[in-house]
Amino acid sequence: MKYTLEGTNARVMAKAVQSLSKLGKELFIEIEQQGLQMRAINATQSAVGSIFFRRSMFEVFDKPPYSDFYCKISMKCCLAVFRNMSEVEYCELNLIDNQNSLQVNLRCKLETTKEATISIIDDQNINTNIDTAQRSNILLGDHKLFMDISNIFNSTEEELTLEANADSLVAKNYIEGTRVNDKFMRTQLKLKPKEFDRYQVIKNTVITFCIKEFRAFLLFGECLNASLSLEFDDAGSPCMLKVKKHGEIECLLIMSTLSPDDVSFSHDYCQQDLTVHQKDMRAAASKRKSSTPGPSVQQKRRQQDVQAEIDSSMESPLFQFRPSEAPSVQQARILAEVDTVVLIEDEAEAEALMLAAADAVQEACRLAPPKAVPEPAATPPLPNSTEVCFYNTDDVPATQSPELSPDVHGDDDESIPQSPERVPQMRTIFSRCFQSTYVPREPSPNSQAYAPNSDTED
Amino acid sequence: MKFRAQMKDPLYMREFQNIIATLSKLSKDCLMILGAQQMHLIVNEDQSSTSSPLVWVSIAATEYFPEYVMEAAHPDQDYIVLIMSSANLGRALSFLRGGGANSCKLKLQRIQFPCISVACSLLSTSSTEARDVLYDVPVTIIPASDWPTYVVPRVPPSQLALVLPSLRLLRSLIDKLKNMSPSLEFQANSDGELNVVATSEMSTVTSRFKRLLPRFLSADNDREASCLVDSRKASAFFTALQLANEELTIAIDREHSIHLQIDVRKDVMLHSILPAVCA
Repeated sequence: MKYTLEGTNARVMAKAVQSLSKLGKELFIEIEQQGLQMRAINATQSAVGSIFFRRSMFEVFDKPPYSDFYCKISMKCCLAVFRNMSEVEYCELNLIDNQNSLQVNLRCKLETTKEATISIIDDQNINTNIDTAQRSNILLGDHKLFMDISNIFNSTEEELTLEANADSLVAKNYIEGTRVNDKFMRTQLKLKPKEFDRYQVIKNTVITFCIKEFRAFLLFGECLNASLSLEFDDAGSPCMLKVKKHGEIECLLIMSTLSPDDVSFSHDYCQQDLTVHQKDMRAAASKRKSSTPGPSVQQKRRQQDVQAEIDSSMESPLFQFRPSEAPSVQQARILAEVDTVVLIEDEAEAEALMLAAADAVQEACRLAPPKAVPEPAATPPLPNSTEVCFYNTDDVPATQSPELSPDVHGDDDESIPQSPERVPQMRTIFSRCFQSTYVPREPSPNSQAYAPNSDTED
Repeated sequence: MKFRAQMKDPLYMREFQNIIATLSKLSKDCLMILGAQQMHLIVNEDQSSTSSPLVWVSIAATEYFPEYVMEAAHPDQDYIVLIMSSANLGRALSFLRGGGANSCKLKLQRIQFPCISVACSLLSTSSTEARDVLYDVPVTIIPASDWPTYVVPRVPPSQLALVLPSLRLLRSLIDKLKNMSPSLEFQANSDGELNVVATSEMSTVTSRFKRLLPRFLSADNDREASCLVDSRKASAFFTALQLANEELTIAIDREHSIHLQIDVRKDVMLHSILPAVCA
């Protein structure tokens, strides 16, 4: 079976292979009556990209004799073959060796011919049970617009969150209301609906998906110079990126989005201003400590209920393989870099308090007139703002600054003055060695969970 | 504790972005000291890096920021001292380079942790609408108790200073000389001559810059001054510079240090100190 393309179309096909290579390690080719389709799926099976070339793009296109033809080949081999296409004038694809190998003949300038034979691994293909009809929310825009969105984020970013409202679209690299790493630089871009060719947002939604696959397809859309359409429903259901060119090339990228159940929200992490005076924070926190641990514990319980539901819904993975052997790997959820421990609000306040207290102590030390009597050491060495501190939640130190009690004067003769409090310096290298217990406040934000906890007792 | 500043002029925004880009090439962390009327940005203040020199920038707030509000944590404190990643700040301000920015706002906020929010309003070429980009650069606030560790460096006393009209030649020169010799000697002369000498086993290369404008900085009328500095540090400084301004003042403190100063504009100055090394 023979398929030939002339130079420019061959270059487009090479670009398609390069885009799909960023997705997965294997290329699935399907030859049907209408044309040739290339597909790739990523390692966690959370994104499937497919690029369809219509028959009209080919000069010679042998229709598959009996039924559609499927094959799977290694992506690395394909990339090596379609690497340098600037000199190519004619490309010929042949299925040889009883359809066990794919032969690629590239006729280049100056009478050079490059020939490569790629062996076909097997005849698997990807079936998606996802309805590719239009979703409720559609964003249609030029590739430049989506490139602008992608470019404000670092190349190392992993996820993109879109908040679509009726009057604005906000692209972020974090989810509003979740906890992020201390060193994380939040980024967001706000766009107006007028910038899009078509902006249809029925309901305000927030979706989060992997940016790597998005960028791969964006690259292809850019080289086609076409408009891209992003269609989605709401968080948790898949979103689709479609690129269409002249009716000859159709690309579809299906990505799974983060489900809202996997994210822990807290109102404390929404934007606030740095205007609260220290005393107010102290008062507010002491009130909170005495109250029952209401909302945080309830939220955790609610999460547990939801966990049970999630487990049951994960029976049917998002994408299936042909021939129908259900893959043993469950669909991996993409979780944001947030952890799901919820008892954070109190501790954040506690730390803020300790910082406030530390400052107050330093002030008291400075402003108090130098006396022979040192103040009683009421608290352990207070941390400074840059020192990472881990405290047992049970013995959080007292939040009041040590007062210079007037009755210490009278005890001069009998009591031996205590040794002066060690003032911790800013740069303690081995700070953890001097702390009583190391209890991490929560699982490290860097640990990603690829599957929810299925322990029913946890 | 409050800090808010706004920039409107595209030229000033571009200069500010160039300054931050320069600092981000010199070191990972940047120290920012916000005074009532001045902003200081300091890089490598502890001079622990062997390959990057101490560089600091003093900006008069009124020059770049028509709106500048600074309130320290405590009424009798004069400054806010912050440490942040210079690369992050550089990325946040990257849109100011193109000249498509309408305005840029800096604000100190606490959203889970303290950060400087950089909000730019952009007008890109492909759109008619203004877009808003917001970056939250995480910062570490230094409490007043640790301020003695972080001070704005002082300009060292020098005997002789020369003004170099264009640093482009000096930059390429030092770039090539650093491979020859680990140390460079700068010799200044009251006749307006600057000699840059690199000595290696096989050769001695001297480059002479003539007819420079001298300035005597010490009381006794010295005729000449010279100092030996690390060539890698000097090269790092010149390679990192992203400023449009080309004029450089070299002040030599005999056997102690070389002080380089670039006046980006009146009241916006970039300084660097190259300490002397043993031969």
